[in-house]
Amino acid sequence: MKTNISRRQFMQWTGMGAAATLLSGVSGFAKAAAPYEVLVIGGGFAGATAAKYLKLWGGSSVNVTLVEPKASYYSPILSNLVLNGNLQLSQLEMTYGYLTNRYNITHIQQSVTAIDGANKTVTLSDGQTKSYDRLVIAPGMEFKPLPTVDTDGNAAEIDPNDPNSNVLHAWKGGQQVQDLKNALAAMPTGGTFVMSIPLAPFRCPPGPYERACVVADWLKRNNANAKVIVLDANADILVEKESFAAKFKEYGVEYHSNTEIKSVNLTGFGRGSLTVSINGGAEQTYDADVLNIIPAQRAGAWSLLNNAGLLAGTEDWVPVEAATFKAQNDTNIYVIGDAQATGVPKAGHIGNAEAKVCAQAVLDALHNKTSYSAVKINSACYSPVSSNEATWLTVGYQLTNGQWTKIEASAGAGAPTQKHYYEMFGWAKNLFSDTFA
Amino acid sequence: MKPNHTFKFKFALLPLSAAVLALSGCGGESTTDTAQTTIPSTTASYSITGAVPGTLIEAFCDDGSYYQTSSDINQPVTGPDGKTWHQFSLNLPVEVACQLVMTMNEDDPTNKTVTPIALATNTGTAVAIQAVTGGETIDLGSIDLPRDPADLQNRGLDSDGDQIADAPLEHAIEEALENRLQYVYKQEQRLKVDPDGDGLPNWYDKDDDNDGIYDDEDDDDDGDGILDVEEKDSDHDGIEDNYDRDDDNDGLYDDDDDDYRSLPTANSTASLLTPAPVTFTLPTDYVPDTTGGRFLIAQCAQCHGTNGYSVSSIDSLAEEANELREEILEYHIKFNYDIMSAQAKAYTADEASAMQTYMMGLVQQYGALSSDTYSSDNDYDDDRYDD
Repeated sequence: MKTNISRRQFMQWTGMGAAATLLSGVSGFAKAAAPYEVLVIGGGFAGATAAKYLKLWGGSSVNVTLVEPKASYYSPILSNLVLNGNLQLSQLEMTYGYLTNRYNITHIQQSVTAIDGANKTVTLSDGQTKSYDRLVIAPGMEFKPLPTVDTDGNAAEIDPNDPNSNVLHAWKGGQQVQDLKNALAAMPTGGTFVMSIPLAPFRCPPGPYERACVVADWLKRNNANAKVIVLDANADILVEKESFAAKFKEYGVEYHSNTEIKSVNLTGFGRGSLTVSINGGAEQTYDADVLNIIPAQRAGAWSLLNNAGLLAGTEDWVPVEAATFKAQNDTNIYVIGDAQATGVPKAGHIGNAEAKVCAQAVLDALHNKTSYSAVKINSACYSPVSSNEATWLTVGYQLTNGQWTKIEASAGAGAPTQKHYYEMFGWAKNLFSDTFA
Repeated sequence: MKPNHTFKFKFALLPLSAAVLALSGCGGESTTDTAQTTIPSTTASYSITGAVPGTLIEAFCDDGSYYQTSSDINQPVTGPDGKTWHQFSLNLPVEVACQLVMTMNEDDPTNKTVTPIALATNTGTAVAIQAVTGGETIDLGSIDLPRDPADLQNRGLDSDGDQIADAPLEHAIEEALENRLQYVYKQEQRLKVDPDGDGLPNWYDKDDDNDGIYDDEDDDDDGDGILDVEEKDSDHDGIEDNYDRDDDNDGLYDDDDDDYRSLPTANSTASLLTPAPVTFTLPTDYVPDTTGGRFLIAQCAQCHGTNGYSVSSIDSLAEEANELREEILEYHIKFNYDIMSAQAKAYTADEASAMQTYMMGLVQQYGALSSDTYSSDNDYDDDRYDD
């Protein structure tokens, strides 16, 4: 294996690393003058927006470093349109070049292996440490284990986060979306597509229902006798029930609520069967030619966050102060996007909105200033439900007694229309641009 | 069953009755939940009753008050079609003209069907009613509402398929009722709730002056020849008089570019990531945002682009910065017919002012760019910007 010696490693070998680390640690304590060091972990919608707005508003008073192992991000938003061929996966690639060039953000292509809140440092996968004055964490979500039965007949677990687990979730954008498209295209005539939906909260509440509609619509035209079965752990369709239920009826989608997965039997990547209990009844098994399990979720990099003391140990999501997204257990660390526990929906649009609250709070804290405190955030999305129709859903949030609460007058939902389908692209392009460019 | 007179956010910006102003304890503008939804005990009231196939009944009254009820499943009657209909009863204040709107399947977006009701009398078709004496019960009889969107279209009442009737359903009333009510006939009297007299209260009327341009793209919503940004008369459009206008009135109009009708990304392999049309200057020092303008404009950016400079067919706020406050407030008096009309209700008039002030500062710095310039297609470019 070829090894490159980085400047940092060279400094560590020559004994300068410790001194450098110590110095930056001291500067953190002493609240040295700007520029302050802000690290942002995670380059999805929330993290990229935080990095951008820290520079847009903080300018040269802050050095912003985005720690993200991937070279680019693939948007899960609009990704169901890859499944029906309306979009190509490459159109959803979000590169970081605009953030680095236009906003002077440093992108370190590493993952974080440890967070030391007391010393205000993180350790990266290549072993180097980075100091921060403030740390913003936007790790998204990760999957909880799925139950299975091993070859000896004993209960076991599948880790859907393992790329070799054969779980085809296609819930994080990117290659798995292409894999699901390919699997649908290769499905035998009259085959069965089974999708499972986990208990809320999970990323993008309308997303699974949207996917079932887009896939069923595509199959009607390309594999007319194929079957779509949706096994939902929730008591009912979670959002936009009327629109999705009407489409399910139109497409002949078989929908079951209150479905508990008892065992997953994978015979290949995205193939196998699910043994479930519906409404607490007897176990039954659904065989799938294409098995799209969307597993239950918790904060991304959960162990890292737990080791950093940001969780109480059993929580799925990180408790934060809603008005700032500051972690309850560390005043220098902020958590935004899917991973935080304020209870607002987990989705890219609102993750972007949260990041702006966080960016302002971080800059205020670093500079000891006070900005507008009656902050608001909003959730909005369009969901395609066929090759040329989409619905929409939106609501604004305000702070009430330190909690995000819906502004009921601003809540709305729109039925499936072609007009909404076109508007969806106007929305997505600005959301992508506001986040990554 | 829903209770009578349930509160609903409605005419937040319409002139309020003296009674509500007195209760609010301040004479200034009010932008939040101020619609009057119960009749003051000092005001005489009357009831209208009737039979419908299972419906939400709303009344939009010209003093800015709003009332609603649902038909009562515990009061079934046999309708003219032989099916089970239900009675309703709604109390309204006297001496105020009110427009009635009835909605079938109100909780089901796919089948929701909104039908304003006009009353056919010997004199003509009345778009609003009022009573002069209290205590009366006015039975409108059985009202044969369109049951669903298809029925609405089949009756020729919904040309654009938006599930909201373009014109009111004409319901014939018994001759005996005619002397007991006063009627407002089409175009006879300018109602604040319906300035164009088309029988659709503004809340459901996406085109207040019937000029074919939806209000969110119409610079003169009420068609009185005075541009909305120059409108001084809050009495008929609900926008406060002290609206702080852009003095330079540079002639920038709303973006009429409805290029949502084209689909820029179909059959294209172009990336959906587009940089902002201007390069923003990064500040040398951090300045806090004390008014909220900067923060709130950033909350618009997911749909309208960073700092309000759009990269898509959605309007650039930079193009209409001096109309921003007015447009937000206009949406306050509309139902939530799209994401913008819903989102606008998340912000108060003060916040809209802060947004406008900040946005106008950005325009001074970076210029007022039309979103048309950055549309990926030119199919529907606005002629005014095609030079």
